[in-house]
Amino acid sequence: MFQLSSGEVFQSSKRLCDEQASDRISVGYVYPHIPLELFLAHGITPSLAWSDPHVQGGFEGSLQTFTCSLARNLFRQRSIGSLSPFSGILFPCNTCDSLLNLADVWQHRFPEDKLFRLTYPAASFDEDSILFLAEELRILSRSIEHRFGRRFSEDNLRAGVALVNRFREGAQTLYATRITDPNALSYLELTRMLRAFLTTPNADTLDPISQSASALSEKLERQGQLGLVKSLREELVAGTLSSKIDVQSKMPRIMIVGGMTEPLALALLFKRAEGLGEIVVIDLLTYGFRTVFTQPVTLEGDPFVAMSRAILNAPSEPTQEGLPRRLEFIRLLLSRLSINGVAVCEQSFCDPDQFETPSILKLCSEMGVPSVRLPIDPELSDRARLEGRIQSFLETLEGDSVRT
Amino acid sequence: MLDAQAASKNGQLAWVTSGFPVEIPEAMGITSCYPEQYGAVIGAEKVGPTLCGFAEELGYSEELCSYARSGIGSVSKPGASPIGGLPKPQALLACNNICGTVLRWYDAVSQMTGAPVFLLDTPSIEGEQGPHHISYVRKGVDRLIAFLSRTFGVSLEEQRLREVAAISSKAVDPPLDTFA
Repeated sequence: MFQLSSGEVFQSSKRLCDEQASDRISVGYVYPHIPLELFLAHGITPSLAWSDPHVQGGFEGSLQTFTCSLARNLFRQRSIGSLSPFSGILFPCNTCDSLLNLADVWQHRFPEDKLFRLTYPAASFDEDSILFLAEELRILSRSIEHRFGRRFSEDNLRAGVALVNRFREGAQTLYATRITDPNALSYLELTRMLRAFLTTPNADTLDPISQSASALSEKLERQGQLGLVKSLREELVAGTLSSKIDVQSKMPRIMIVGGMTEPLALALLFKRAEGLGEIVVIDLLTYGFRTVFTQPVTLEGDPFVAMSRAILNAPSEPTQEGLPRRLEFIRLLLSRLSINGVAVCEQSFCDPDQFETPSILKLCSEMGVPSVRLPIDPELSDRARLEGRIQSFLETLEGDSVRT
Repeated sequence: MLDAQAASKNGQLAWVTSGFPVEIPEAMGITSCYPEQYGAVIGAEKVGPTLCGFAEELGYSEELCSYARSGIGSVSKPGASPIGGLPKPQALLACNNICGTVLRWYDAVSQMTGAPVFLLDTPSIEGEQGPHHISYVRKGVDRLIAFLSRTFGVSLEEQRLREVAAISSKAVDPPLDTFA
């Protein structure tokens, strides 16, 4: 079964338990665009709260029937005591109604949990939004100190910024390399490394990413390709692509688009088609590309403003204002990266995903790029049908001549 | 509705969400109408499932808010909608104080009509309202005024705003004997 294994879920929890055994506190978070550096500055491990495919979300009397499947899965994990051993949990506000309501219900149902909230601006991101979020981060920092007794440390902040920046640089290099040569590193391996770091961001989980990036960079240098990949990486961080990447490939080149669907779960789903070789060239997922290609924190002046600026300059999410801008970016990727197929993932009852999907599919159609729609929930309860849909889609692409 | 149709023909119509500070576009001479109110008309006419179906034909999931789906459906097929659908807007003014869905609903309508969306972002408050909240929303209002000026070629006069605000206040604060 190509499913996130119990072993992989166990490993994530084990890393957290090991962290806690070493006297580090961990705080779970749901929305990935959080200031990892801020938590590290307080000596706290921020750990992404993943959905568990082995836990059935299902009906839960506390939640509205239209609550998204991710929220439902996390709530169920908490209800049955299988959520990772967090000392607290951070919820986003002003991203979507499901997560806002989840926080309210969670607070009511589990009053013993240390619950934090971070409110994001949803409007177009200018200095007003940056200053608003900076103030919210300051409030969060005070709250962390108050509830855990862990003071903000400038040294820890610098170390945290360095760690996270190195993560992003390494992961960005891996993404950029895979665009030119998907076989350089499997998408499955990339998503495993991302999951490990986002679960427990430390030197141990950074190491595989740094080493892979380093090894691939050396190889690219020998091949005379390093400059191209570096340039590609920088442009993707800036949200631009000035020239077309020509790739002669007999394999389909697939882009996965979506929101808060776990990249590793999708990698396992696509692995069924592994007879074709590496076909996923890039993803535009919240826990993937949009997290990785967040701009680095530059510690000049007010650190809260710096962290806010980095967060708000990350690739735009379906939870935010800016649909035309997001579609233009997709158009750019499709026209420059020799993509000849798009898989659009829609999380069940996810407002942002489901409103965005028709526009993305229409764009693909206008550009003559075949697409497939994948309705998904964290349990992958319709796994067989999804696998069949992917397989059929790929077979139609194999039959076509490859666009370059 | 007749006012809205005339305004649309003159290029002076905005759709607004239910909690939007409508006093500002009103004071700037822009006519507003409410897709959410129109949702009630759809319900009363018992054509919700039909109009939702039109939205689903465009690819919108049946799991989405039915206000939004029926609204999108009526934009898609105004001829099959009660009273011929809402008049075409020149701007879509969303405020997320009512819910987060409205931005995405209006984005969808924008794709169909070409009308630009403006979001007045009013983040939820946990506990006390901080000065940064007030400042952020206040700047949002400034951006709104600039957007309306740019889009409709109009300006805001403070005196007119005060007049409209007074009318609004009176409307939401009726004498007690109204409910007797």
